[in-house]
Amino acid sequence: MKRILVNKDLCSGCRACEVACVARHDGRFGTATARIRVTKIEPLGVDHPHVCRLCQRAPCVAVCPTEALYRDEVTGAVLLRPDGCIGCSACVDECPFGMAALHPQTGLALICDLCGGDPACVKRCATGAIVYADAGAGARAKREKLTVEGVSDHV
Amino acid sequence: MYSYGGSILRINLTYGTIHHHPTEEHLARAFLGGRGLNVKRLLDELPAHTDGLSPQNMLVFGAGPLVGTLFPGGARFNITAMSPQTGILGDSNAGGFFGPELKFAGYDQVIIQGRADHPVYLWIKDDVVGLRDAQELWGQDVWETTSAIQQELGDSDVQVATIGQGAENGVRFAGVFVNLNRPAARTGMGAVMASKNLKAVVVRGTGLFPVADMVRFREIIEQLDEVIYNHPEYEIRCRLGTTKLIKALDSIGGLPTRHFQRGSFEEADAVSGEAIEELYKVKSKACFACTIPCSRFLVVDDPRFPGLRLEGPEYEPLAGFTARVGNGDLALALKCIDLANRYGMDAIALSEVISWAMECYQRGLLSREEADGLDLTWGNGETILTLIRQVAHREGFGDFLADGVRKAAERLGRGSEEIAMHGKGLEVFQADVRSIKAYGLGNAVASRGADHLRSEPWFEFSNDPEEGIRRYGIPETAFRLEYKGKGLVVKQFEEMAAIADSIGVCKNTYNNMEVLDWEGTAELLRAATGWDITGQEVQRIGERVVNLERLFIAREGITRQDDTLPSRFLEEPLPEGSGPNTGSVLELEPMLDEYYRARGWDLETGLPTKEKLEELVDW
Repeated sequence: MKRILVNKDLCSGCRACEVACVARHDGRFGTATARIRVTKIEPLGVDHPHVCRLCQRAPCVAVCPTEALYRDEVTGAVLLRPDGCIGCSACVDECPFGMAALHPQTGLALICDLCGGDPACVKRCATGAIVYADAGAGARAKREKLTVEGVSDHV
Repeated sequence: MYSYGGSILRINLTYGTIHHHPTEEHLARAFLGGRGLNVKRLLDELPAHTDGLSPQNMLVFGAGPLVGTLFPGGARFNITAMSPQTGILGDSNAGGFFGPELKFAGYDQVIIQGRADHPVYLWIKDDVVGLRDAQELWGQDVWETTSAIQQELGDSDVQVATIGQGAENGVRFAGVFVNLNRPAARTGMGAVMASKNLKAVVVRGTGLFPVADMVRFREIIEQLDEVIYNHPEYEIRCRLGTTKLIKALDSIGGLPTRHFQRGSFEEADAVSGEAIEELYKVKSKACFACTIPCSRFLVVDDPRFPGLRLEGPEYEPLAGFTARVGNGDLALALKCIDLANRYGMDAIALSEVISWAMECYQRGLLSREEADGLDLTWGNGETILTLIRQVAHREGFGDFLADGVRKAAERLGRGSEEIAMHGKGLEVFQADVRSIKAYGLGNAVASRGADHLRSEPWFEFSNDPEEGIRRYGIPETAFRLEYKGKGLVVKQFEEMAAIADSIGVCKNTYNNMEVLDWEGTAELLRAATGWDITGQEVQRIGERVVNLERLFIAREGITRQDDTLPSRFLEEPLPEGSGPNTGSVLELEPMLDEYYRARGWDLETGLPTKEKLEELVDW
């Protein structure tokens, strides 16, 4: 299953991903309703894109008292039935990664929907810090890197 | 109003009053925003001859219609006021993330007047705006202040535009800094802020603003992204940013070595952008939504400067603290830049006053005793670091330099005025304009004093005479050492720069990479604003902004005789060893004639004619 993979060392911190997300979903420009978030520690030069982890046993889905959150069979994203959401923020409280929020205007749950399988954030990323790919792809690359660098002998 | 924040915020610090009114659409249509709308506001509301440091001065923050959109680098905002450094138009521009946040909070402009009776900072959280006590922050540097405010407000996403100790202590070339390392540094806007007892402007915007046609807007941005990704300069700009210019200018003899005494620098390779990339670069960094991450985060591992980390630098501070002061020690230069940023001072002006003092010393115009015992030998690192600290605190010999080079040279006399490298009181940038003639003209006529960012006429590097004929009817325009036709080049690029600053985009893309022409700009503005604006109208807005700025400085007494540069550029030929530039001087007078003619200005006074103004004042 594809997911948004993050390499924070490649992130320039420009936040284009946030703007692209808001433009796609809200049809306007801003960052407050972004479903992807770049956290910065400016004095250290750290830029860290945070994304929905598509948890297999998703706490947000499990905790939702009105069953407004459900899994998209095709993309694996957690989707929202707006009619069902009561804006109680249980999902926000429960997400271990801080990646659920309430929409500041509608008050309803705000969670990455992977744009139906063509994420706008990834499309706009200029540096490759976020890519939409199989989780295994990242792991394989890591294993290859460890092998090439010869540091996997001791593990 | 599509693509605008929608409101103008007005603060009077004397009375503590805060109110706002809608952004006037007819003014937005005539001046767009940012720099254009700022100078319009100043011309309308600020009396002539206002003292830059008086409570009557207005400090105007403005962000244009493309700020906060998906435009690559739609990040830039302007700060405008009467300059306490030059006594004419003060205006400075920065990128980073402050401008977009201001738009998301709902504001196109923030106009600050008066003077608070104790240090405060302005806190803008969407439509909740207030003044907060900043007495604890006074005396802290840019980095400390930024962190302290983010901590106090409990939000690392708040954007902070702050001054450092330089401004507080009355350094006239002190700037306003955002995102720690990004300065609106030119013309002393930080000094204006300090005079108002205003430590920082802090903003958090959680709103969203609409554009007229989002589908079309995104389409155009996608095309623009392709143009940028395929641009021949894309890769090197991602790697080195503007620091690519150290080697490039060295190779054509354009570096300001030892205060413009030579065009090449023997240590250029050691202090180049390539050297920074190899030794210290950790990652690429970018302004808001920019696809060209031209900035760099550096970790400088040098036992003399423990813990030195910074973002950048741009070419200007780098050349300033290397070639200009005769320093070949790269880590030392980065330390100097870091100090300038933390104290909140303009690195161009700072490197000028220091290198000017060094040349005065070299020529025997200034003794060691007069310089507080400092050894002003070229490249003396200890002296340079000491002087930066002394200027920031207005102590010792630093106090003598802290009003800028024009005032320092007036005070010293002894002919040192002849080698004070400024135009209209603003220190000249880091290139020898005897080797780049359009840049020379651009510096001489720039509305905020000698500066390249009012025009950036890169075309003279193109070496493409056919394109020169196509654009201007003059093949010489394509060659940097020719002066013919440069009046036409500078006119066009001045208008491009005025548009870039007024819509809020970066001149690296808009001027230097020329990613959008007038019609392309109009197309994007149509999608953004819904106006039926044409390419010709965009050009006319650029022309209008340039003319209005000319009116503003004419009010302060500027005429043709002020459109000049130091005699070193005009009379001293570049010395032997300057390659193809050897023997070159700047042929300013014929270029000025050509420029004024192109502008429709009076040749004798260098001022706009009545006919020209009537043609432009049609909104």
